[in-house]
Amino acid sequence: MRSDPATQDSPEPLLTRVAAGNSEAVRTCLARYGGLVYALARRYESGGGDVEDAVQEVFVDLWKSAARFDPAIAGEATFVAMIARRRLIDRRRARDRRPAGERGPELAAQVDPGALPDVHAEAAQAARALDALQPDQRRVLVLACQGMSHSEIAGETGLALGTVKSHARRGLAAIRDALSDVPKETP
Amino acid sequence: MSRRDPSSSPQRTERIAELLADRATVGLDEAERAELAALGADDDDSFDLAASAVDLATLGPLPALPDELARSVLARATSPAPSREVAAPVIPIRRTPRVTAAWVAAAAGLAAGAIAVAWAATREPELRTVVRTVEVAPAVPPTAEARAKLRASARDAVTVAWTATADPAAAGVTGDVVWSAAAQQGFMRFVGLAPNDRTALQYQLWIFDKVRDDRYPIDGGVFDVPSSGEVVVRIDPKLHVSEAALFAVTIERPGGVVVSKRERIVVTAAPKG
Repeated sequence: MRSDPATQDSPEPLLTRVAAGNSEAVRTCLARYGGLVYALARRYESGGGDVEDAVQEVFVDLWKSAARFDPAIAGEATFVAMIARRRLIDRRRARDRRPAGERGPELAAQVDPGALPDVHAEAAQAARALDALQPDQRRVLVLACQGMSHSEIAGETGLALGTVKSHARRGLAAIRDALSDVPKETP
Repeated sequence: MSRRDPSSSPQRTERIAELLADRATVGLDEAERAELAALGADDDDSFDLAASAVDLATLGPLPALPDELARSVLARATSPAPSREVAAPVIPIRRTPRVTAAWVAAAAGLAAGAIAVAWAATREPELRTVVRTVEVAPAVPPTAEARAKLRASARDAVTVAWTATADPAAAGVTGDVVWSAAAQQGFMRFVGLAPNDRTALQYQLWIFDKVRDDRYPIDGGVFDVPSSGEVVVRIDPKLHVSEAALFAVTIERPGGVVVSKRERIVVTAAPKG
């Protein structure tokens, strides 16, 4: 897993230090993952103040959840994205309206792992796993991860609702299994 | 954060996978969350992590977090539990007494129009804080008992009566706020505050701390008023309150806000000193 120059001298993962109340680690965490959280918030929120509110809430969740991070299970960026996704999905459900924010590239087929701005081992592995999926399954999974509901995906792809759910579930399982092959850091 | 549990019957495994996949993509309702917990799989993050990895692979170039938003996040950052005693990273910001002055003006019972003018003068920068939901007292209110206990046991507990503004929701409202800085506990009591439809709006408490920048009051929680009778609400501020200077309740959108537009101030209470 790629190491960060800012933390090379520290024996502990960044999020572990955040959990311990290290204010410098908090600043580093914000600098490192602010863009990731912001991008996800823009994907799920309608813009303006909603995005800002969402970012604030995600980081509050992250400060509270940092102690749960286990580098033996997942990478740090993946964990941060997970915390963000959960908050953003909860916000969307509370609003009960579809996300109107910016979406990323729609199809995984367009993803070139080598061109990722931050070549995270799990991201690259996930991209390769996505590429190995059947086209319909890949499209459904990417759309689902971008915040579309199953019924919206069914409407957009023309697939039956049950097929959409099945593709999403099996696609996630495939990604999960692929990630299990990624070497993890040992605490 | 945990791995999946590989031991299950096929039907149970299938149902768990359905719920985990739904949680990772569209979220679960309360019944589904309970079902997942009953199946013993609510701590299985594997599908959530998989969906997050898909995000990492498909987001493309990441935008920079706007500087102002980054500063706001840092200003609101607090030490994560259980390290609450560790100082939160706070960027020193020049105090702006005019903001508190506007809240105090509301406490003095100015008309809504005058309050709006006062707020308009302090609209930038907006108030930013963290959202925290607090519980509303149930029908047989242990919260009321806890309030009485706090008043009796905390030597530093202060009780300050609410001052209603001209907002329609505050018409005829009485009550008070009880706060103990030593215990970091407090309660709001309302009689006659307009019940709210939580799908349309919710009440939110803000606490101004004398040692903090006035532009960033502490969020005291989002709450509902289910009836027009007496309602007692526990205050559970996200941040440590050193010396409360003003309590103010606003009406916000469902779920509360991190940036209050201060359009509807309902009641305020200013401890003496």
